[in-house]
Amino acid sequence: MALFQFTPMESTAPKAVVHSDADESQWLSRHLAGDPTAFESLVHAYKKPIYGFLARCPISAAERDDLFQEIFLKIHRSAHQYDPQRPLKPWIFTIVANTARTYLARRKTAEPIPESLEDGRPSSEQVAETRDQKHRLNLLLKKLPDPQRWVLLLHCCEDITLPDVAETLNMPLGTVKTHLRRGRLALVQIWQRATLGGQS
Amino acid sequence: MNCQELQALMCDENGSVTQLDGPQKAHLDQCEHCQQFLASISELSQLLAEDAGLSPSDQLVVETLIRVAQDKRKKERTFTPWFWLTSAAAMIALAVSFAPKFAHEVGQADMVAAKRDAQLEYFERELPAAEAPMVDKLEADPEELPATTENVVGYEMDRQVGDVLKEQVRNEMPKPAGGFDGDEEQRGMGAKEDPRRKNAPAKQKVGKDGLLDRVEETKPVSTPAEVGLRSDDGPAFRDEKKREIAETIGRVSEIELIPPKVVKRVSPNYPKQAPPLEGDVVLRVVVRRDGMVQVLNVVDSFDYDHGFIEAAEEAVQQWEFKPATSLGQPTDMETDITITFSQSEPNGPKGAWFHQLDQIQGLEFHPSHGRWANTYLPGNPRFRYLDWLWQQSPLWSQLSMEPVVPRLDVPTRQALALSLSSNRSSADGPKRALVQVAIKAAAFGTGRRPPMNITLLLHVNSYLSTADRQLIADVIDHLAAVKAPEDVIRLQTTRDPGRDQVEAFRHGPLQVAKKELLFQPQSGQATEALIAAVNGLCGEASESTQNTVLFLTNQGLSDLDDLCRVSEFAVLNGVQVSVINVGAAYGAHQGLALAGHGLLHDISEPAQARDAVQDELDAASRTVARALRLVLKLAPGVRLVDVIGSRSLDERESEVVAAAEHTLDRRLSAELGIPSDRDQDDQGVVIVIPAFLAGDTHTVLLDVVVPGQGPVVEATLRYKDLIWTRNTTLRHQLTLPGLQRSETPEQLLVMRQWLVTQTQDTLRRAYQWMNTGNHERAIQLLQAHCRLLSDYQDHLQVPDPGIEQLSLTLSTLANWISDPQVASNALQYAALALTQRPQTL
Repeated sequence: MALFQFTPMESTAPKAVVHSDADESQWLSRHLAGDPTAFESLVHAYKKPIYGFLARCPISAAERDDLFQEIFLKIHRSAHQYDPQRPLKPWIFTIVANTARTYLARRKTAEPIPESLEDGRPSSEQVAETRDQKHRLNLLLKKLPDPQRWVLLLHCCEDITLPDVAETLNMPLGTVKTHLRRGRLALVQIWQRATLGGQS
Repeated sequence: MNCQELQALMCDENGSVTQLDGPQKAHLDQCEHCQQFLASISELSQLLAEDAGLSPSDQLVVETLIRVAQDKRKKERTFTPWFWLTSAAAMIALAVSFAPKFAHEVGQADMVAAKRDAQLEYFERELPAAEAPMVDKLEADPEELPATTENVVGYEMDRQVGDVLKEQVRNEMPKPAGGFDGDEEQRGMGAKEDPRRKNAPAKQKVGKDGLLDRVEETKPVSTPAEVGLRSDDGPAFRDEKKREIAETIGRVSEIELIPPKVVKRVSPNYPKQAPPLEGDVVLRVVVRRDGMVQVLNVVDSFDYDHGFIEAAEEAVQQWEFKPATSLGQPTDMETDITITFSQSEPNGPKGAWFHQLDQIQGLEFHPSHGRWANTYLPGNPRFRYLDWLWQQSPLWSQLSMEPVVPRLDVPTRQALALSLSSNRSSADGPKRALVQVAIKAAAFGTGRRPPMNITLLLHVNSYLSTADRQLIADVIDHLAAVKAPEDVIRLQTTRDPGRDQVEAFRHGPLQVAKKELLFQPQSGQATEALIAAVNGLCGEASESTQNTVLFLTNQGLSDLDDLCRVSEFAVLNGVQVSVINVGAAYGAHQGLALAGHGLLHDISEPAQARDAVQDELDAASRTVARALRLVLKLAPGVRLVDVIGSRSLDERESEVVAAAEHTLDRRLSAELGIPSDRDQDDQGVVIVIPAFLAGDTHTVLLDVVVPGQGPVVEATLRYKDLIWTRNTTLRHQLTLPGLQRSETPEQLLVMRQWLVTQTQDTLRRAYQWMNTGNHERAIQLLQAHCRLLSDYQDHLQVPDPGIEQLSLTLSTLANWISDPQVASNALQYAALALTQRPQTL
């Protein structure tokens, strides 16, 4: 049993999206054909994963709402580019990741080094005081360097395969694997510090 | 196998317990640290696989669907008139045969009228002005319509019928008061502005108590919503059959959706025990159809531990709304409400900010013994990196950050000096007091270097000239020449980091390896190799106290950022990274050397190769004291509120710190002959600092409540004095008299130190706001803090130039925040620069 694989393992966590792949891949073509329920189904299936993805990026709540809308608009406008033979999720998350990346790149040109490496004591002292683990994890993910965060979110949270992640982020597969390893390592380390800090 | 390697393996793509080999499993079975790592990684994988615990509000989803629908409609309208003319003609031709059948199903009379309206709508909307007479004709002679419009077929037919039904349903719907005239919009006239709630900054209102509160603007969403939102509570359709068909077709009506409006607003109470903080709490609520509010969850909060969320929830639950309406009927609606806590308003908790230092009621206390986290780090690598970045900036000269340090005489007969002072000169009853413990190091180092553990990491490509090859050989030779018996020097290349480590000796293996390594130079993965080198140095087997990686290269580094991160991590694990450029000078490598808390050497001639090695050895001798143990014993009756900036360590962390202290004690005893003296734990607040550099000053601030006059605290500092090679113990006691005395300059300095810690906190919070893109909030925060500092100045008889400098810095930073390129770094830099001295090795 792969005890420390980030992805599925024995997780009993409910996934928000409950529908078959066959249904999914037809949504956009149905939408293009004028079926108004198709896009609605897509929004309801993906609203939670996309909102969650944005919530784990360093984006304020108000901007998150704007980006959320922008992403669905882009999905709608690019619908004709989607190939129904391929899975929908990686395609959608390519748009999500690109939108978030563009937004963050526009906002700050210089990526700050994560505060967790700033000094020896847990810099995430505010983080450590959060009320529950999910909030804490969301805040810690915001502190990771961008590429590591993208890879973790896509692979570990959204369960997208690494080759698909590589294609989504337009990176070589080897680089994606490196980001994955470093991201996990960094996340566990800051998690341990924050958790220990929170308990004290 | 060491912990780092195993943990890196666990984080790998295919990391799995089952894939571990024998030694790895054995290590895992024995190592508690790795087991804990495994537990954390499992816990995280579970949490990551779950959703983020947040979902968009109904309102946001509806708005998104509206935007998409509008976009779609807009796109449809952008087709040329020629397209529409052709389409209309085709439809007219085709509908003749199919429409009667369909019309029969939905009610022929309705169908005829509907089709007429639909045609009118299309012609009116799409035809150019020249075609207007045709519309007139159609309207003037409705009898002709059946002959010309029974032409809808296939998808086009569905679309037409959908529009028709939509139109009819809309006409039958009750129109909300002051609502939006859907007809105008439908015809593309008027209502050009998007009336949808845009996520623009919400309006702020100042509550009675001066706190700012804010609610997301809830402008009516009066745009016709071409979405499949169905409400069970909608008004009865006059013709249920039409509704049924409309739903079957899927284009249910245009829904007038009006969000809730606030009719009663209650400002939150600032939490009594909270420190002076500012920020937003965003709550997801359901505004029920009776106008009352039910809080669902917290979407976002600037703080989770000081009662701000509870205060916001308490206030919001007292709010009253005019409920949202869907199809004219009140309905439940999810929405987000943002409550802003601010200290910038006149009646806010500003006063409490200073008066909290006098408050002794309702406090929570920490036990007066136990280990606390160390807050001193020699030459903080993050700061040195920022310092270097900052010097590249043209704004460098404008921001002169002088570290605020207590005035203390430089020790002369020992490595360190200790002092104790308070912000109170007396205590005639129970009082709250700040106690400052300051440590200052001698100005110069020992001039004696400890045994070193060096890895020379070669990252050289095949474009290596003979001269450069010779320079590298010189570096290796010099290292071998200065190697003391207790030093360990290894050679490694980036080509195959796992295999070709060669322990360097003066003869034999080194010379062989040197030739072999330089014969066919080939660089590999620098980052991977650096990780391997760092892991090798800070592994369990190392007995040395001074570990260094010398990163030697003849090329620019493409993965410099990654290398810098590895270096910073190395520093935290007691390994320093220096860079040697051979042949060409690469200025950017300075970042790597600074991040690694090391030096940068550019060598292009043999003498420089020797100097580089010598500089490395000299730098190692700047440490003047090691294994510092600061013990603060509070007098009976004195209670500890906090050690400002630090945190209490839990049992496990305490064990780790104690183990590290004992290891260091043992190694120093073996290396320098300083007797081991850390067998027993001391009672009191204990802080262990691994090493202290020459010229540095560090302060620890205690927040305590004293019962009255008398002794407050006894500070004991035990350390390994590397200058005089001995154990040294310094002891001071602080006593407050009962008689009132006038203020002393010392008291003001303690207050200044406290203000510095508050300012650092403000800068860090401003940095966090910047990172979430909220520049405005960051500026407000800095400006509010400036006002607090100037208030403090007003209380002083003689203005404090140190505080003035702080105010000036903050206002300068507030101006710069408009430039995001420098702002983040500037805020981080300023926060650190307040107490860190740049280390120029």
